[in-house]
Amino acid sequence: MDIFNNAQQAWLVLEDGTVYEGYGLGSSEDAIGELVFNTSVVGFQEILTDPANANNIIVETFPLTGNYGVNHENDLHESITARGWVIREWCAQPSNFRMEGRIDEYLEKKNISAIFDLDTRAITRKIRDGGVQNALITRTNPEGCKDELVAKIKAWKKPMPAWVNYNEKVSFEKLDSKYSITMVNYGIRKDVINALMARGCRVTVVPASYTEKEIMETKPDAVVLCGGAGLEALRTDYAQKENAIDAAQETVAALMKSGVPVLGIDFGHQIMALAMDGSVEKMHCGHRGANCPVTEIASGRTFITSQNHGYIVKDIPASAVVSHVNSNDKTCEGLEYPQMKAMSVQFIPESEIGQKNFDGIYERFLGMVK
Amino acid sequence: MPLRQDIKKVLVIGSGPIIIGQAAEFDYAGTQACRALKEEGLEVVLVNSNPATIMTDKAMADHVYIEPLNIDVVKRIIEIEKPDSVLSTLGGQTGLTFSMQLAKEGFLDSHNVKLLGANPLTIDKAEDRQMFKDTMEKIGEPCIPSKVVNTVEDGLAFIDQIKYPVIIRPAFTMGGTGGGIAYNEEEFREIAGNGLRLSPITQILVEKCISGWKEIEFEVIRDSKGNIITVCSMENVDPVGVHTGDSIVVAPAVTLSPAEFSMLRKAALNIVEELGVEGGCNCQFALHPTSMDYAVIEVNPRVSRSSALASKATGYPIAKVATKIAIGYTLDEIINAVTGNTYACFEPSVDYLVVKFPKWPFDKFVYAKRTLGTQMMATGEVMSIGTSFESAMMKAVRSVELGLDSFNLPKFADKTKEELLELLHNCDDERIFCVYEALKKGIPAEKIHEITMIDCWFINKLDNLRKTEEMLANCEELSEDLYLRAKKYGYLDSTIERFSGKKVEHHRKGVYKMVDTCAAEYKAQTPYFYSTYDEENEAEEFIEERKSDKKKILVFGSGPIRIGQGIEFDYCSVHCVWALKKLGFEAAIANNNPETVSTDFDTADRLYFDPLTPEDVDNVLESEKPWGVVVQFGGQTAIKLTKYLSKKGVRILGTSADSIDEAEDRERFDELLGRLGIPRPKGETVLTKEEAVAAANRLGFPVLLRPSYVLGGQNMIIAHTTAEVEEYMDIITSHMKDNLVLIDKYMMGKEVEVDAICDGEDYLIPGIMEHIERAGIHSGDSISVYPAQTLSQKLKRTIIDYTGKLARELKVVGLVNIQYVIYNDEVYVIEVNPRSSRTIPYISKVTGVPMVEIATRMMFGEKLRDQGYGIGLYPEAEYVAVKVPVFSFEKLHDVDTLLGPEMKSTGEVLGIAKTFDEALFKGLVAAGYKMKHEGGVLVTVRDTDKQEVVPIVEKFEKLGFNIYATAGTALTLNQNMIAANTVRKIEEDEPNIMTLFDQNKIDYIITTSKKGRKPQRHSVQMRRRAVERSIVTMTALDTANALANSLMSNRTVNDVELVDITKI
Repeated sequence: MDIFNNAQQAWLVLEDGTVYEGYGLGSSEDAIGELVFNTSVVGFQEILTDPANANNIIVETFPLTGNYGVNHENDLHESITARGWVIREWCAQPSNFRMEGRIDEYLEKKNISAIFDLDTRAITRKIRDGGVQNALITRTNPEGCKDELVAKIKAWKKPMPAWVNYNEKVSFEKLDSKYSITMVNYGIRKDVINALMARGCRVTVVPASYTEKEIMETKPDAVVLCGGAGLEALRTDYAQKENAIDAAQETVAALMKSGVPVLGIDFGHQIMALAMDGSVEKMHCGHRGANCPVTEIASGRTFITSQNHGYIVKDIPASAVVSHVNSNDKTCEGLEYPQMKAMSVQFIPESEIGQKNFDGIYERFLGMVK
Repeated sequence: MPLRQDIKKVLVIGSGPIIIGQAAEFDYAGTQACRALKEEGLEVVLVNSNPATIMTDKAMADHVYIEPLNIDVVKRIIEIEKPDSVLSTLGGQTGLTFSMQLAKEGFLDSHNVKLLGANPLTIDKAEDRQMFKDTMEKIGEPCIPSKVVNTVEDGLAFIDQIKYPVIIRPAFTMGGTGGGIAYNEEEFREIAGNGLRLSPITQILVEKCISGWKEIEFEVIRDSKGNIITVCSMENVDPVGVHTGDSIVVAPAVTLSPAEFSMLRKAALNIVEELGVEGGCNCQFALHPTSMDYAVIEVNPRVSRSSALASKATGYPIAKVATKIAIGYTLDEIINAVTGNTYACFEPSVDYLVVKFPKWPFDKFVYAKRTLGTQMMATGEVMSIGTSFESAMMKAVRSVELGLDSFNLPKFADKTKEELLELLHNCDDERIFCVYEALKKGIPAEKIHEITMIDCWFINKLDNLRKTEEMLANCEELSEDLYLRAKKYGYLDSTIERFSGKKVEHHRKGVYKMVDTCAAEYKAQTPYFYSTYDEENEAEEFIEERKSDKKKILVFGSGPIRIGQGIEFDYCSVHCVWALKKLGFEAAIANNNPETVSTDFDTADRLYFDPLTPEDVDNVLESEKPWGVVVQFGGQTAIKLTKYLSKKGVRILGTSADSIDEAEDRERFDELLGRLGIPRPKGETVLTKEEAVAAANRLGFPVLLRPSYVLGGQNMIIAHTTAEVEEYMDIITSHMKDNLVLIDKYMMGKEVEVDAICDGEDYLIPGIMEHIERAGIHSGDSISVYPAQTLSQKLKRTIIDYTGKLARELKVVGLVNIQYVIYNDEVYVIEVNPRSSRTIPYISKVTGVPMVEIATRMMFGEKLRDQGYGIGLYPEAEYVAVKVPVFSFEKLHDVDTLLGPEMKSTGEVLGIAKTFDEALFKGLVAAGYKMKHEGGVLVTVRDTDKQEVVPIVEKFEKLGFNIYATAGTALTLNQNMIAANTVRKIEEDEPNIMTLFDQNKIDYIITTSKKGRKPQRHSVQMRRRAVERSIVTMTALDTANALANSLMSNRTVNDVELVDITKI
């Protein structure tokens, strides 16, 4: 099978008017999203299904994708996906004993629009130098209607992610669970649930709309706030949802003050900082990859972590101390709240590729549970 | 922790001569280490016996000892220099083994020397088979079922449990020397017996053979704080069963999903943590292709060939970082030199695919057994970088200089499907080409996988190349789309034209992308580029951003290390770059060898990591727009480009293309010699077998035969009979069609070699070298002595005169190497090479004349007279230097050790001393001669040597050796009053020579024979058995005589003066 055979032309149009021409893959629908790059070499399926990428079009810096095919176990979320995927080459004859199918079929099934045969390094350099921007993947030649398209792309705002409206409560449990953990659904990742279950936790996922009272009614031994990409979406100026972020902050502040141990991961880390009167800031082009070095201040040790975020905590809340920093740009990667039973990290502890590093995060957190 | 305050003076132990399994990568690592140490203001003492290296330059260390790597020598250097520390992990297995021995004996403690880089416990846990197994068991990392045994019988008992096939791995040998796979008891007895002999502790590991599993490697770095990262993952295209040094390797690993990837990464981190490595470490795994089962194959707690590859593949300087860690720094304190603003504590991210392709010596050793196994056989390798596997492979096959520009190997073209199905079972150096041909003949990828166990991913990608080739062949017109696709897959225009039969109308030039360790996440400073067929040209941008008034010069490197073109050319290329920078130029280098210093991204102002074919070079020229280019330092690889570049009108600095042609073209050269009145051995040029036989008869036997363009005496023989001429012509015409063959009268005289620098008018001869062995043995395989010891003033004057005439007449600007033979007191010219040579590094070091720098200055019109080194013959040094070749025969099966006009050595060592005798002694010791003073000598020589060998054998007899000889030789010896025991030949009934070998009665062999090469010959078999038993075998009487003289001087390494060459 030849990836160019019968391939349809497709275009990637950027907010700044740049147009790249390639071939379409997956869904043929137009897709608009925030164009970000990810430097991981393996784990494309995880990246595509990380809820933090719900509104993103991902540029894959590694040129060869889909080499080992797809496997449903690799999905971090069963329904949430990135909006689009920008790659150089995909593998029509993948090879791995675990694979269940090819990436092209997967993209179609997941309704993800992708474009290939592009110089992804050139696009990455553009994002690196110019910052993240919106972009469109389309199968319609933008020639002649570029101005309108660009205006449309510019005007696009991240919509409220679907998970905000989830209202079901789900439980994950093993027989000999020791702790009862309630996780607030800010776009949870399967690997975080798995990591907690592996440590003897019964995990109950509740909707983001739950109040502190509703959360506490689930009788948690501890609460985990996990997810990503929520902030901007929650801040969107879609009038009707404007208070979503305030509501979330209120809930989190109340939880932290209630004395129940709270762990924030990724977006959870940011929302906790906001709840405690800190501030967050949008990054130039984000930390997205499996090779981000983070220094743990207490031990002085540096670990390699997996990250996927476009915001950082800027002003540290008065009630918090910094526990982790990014070794390269020295941004905040972890906070502890000494007066409360609360801690948070910006990276994903023990995500698949970063496994082995920071094994201690969950242990320390569970240590707070008495 | 910053730099340890208790470290001021560090001893670095190098890796010694280049041998298969331990090559230029350690010069790269050692050079980085020395520079990293000096950067910290530390005093560096260096010991390495290899004079061709950059690390043994005076500029690299404060004290440089080119001395035998021998435990007593190292001890004496420690006593003289009193370093406070010794760095153990940067000098390959050799450096590591010495360091451990010194530590374990308590020598380091008693001399207050700290061991940096690794502690003995770490090393033992990694290298002692049993301790390694125990350690892995402790942390739950699976190993292959195996057992450490000290006898063949114990091994057989274990095999009863695990069944054949089994792999035998001797303990503490490098590059898998003495290992192998056994399928039955007979094979096991042979391999195990050999392995036990070669292991310094008589220990082998017998393990279950897991051939066919995926082979995955991780390069890990850990510091004293426990920070730990993986620099790079690598996947072998050839699965387990082929030594990783003989495998095609890709980086990063491509067929692993996150589940397997993180499982192995975690295992690598666990292992390195448990071993307590502080520095670089290589972990090799076998991964079952259809399950999550894996096993740890091997761990190397030091820099290695793989770490050199990982460094070049990612831009992460492992050796430098490992050195900084050894002296106290932690990863989070070391700045990433690539970005300049991030730290070494991160995992590089790549946005391209790297392919490593081995370079094997089988083009030279036509009778060698080409089967690949657990013992490495490649002498070098190339690396290529592409945005697809296809393009990286296409670049690799061009870089490795097999005369190919695709995966079509002519010898497979006519094979049928059935034949190919058979041939796929041969796991040899040509297997990848066989796979390609199999695809062409319609054998399905699955079937090929079943036979070869090469992952289908790789096979299918190769199939994309086949499809492209097919599309080209079938296209009605060469559309822009198709052309661009072919370009993106790595095809040259000429290849596209050949396959399609269409002209390329609109040539598209390549552009460059940067290797930056971070997949463009951060803006990087590295001037390290590879070509692609995209729009952006980062090299041009880079040049534009740093615009200067300096002229830009492009230097061509020498490609893969092979016999005849080794590390010395990298030495010259690097020195040229340094000289250019010093002279105020911007220097760029183009090369494709990942093992070398020249491809370190901070050597030149810009590095182009790509093949060195005309079109590839065109791309570099387009981007770089150099003012001039340099071809004379990159060996034949660079010289080959001269004609093309000159035709294009590129300014070639130094000796002109026309002069190079004049020296290489037989007719023009003869004419030149005629004009100058310089004699040379009579010769003719022929094309066919018939012409060759006629010419040989006209010239009179013996004659020397070789193809017109040669490298290291490739395919060169001395023929004594018509039959030999015919055999040779058959081989040559089957390999290279339409290649002219030179046939010369062979004169068995004294060989003399001269390296000179010329500015077009004046010339400077830093030194005249004389070979111990008479002409007929390739100069690279001869023991070479500087300054010449036995030449009369008259002969010297003639040589100087001829050299001057030749240099001037050829209008040499830069370096020229001339070889002479002295026959009946007359000087004849053998060949003139207007370029750098093998001997430049050592002559530069011994004489103190910076030859490459001066030669570079000449290229810009500077005059020799202004350099301060005079003209004519440079005053002879106070020291005598003896260069002794080193061979890798034990790694190559069925290769005859008989020396001849075809070069066979892989490396060299140098002995430096005030007297010739001492220098020779040092050289021999450094080359690995054990210099035993008692035991037995076996003599078996051809009739023409029987009289001449007598006085030599007499010397051995006087030394008290027992003399054994085959019947004919024994008769002559006995007639000359030498008591020689007659021994039956190997093909005769026992007890025979083999019996003596097995009883360990033979320590030296003097053997010459009229014929060699063919492995079926008994004399060749005898020599092979001797190699397997590590018995010193001398195949030239001159070598034997030199050894006997040296033994008679009764020296030991404790008597010799150790010379710090920085003080010469």
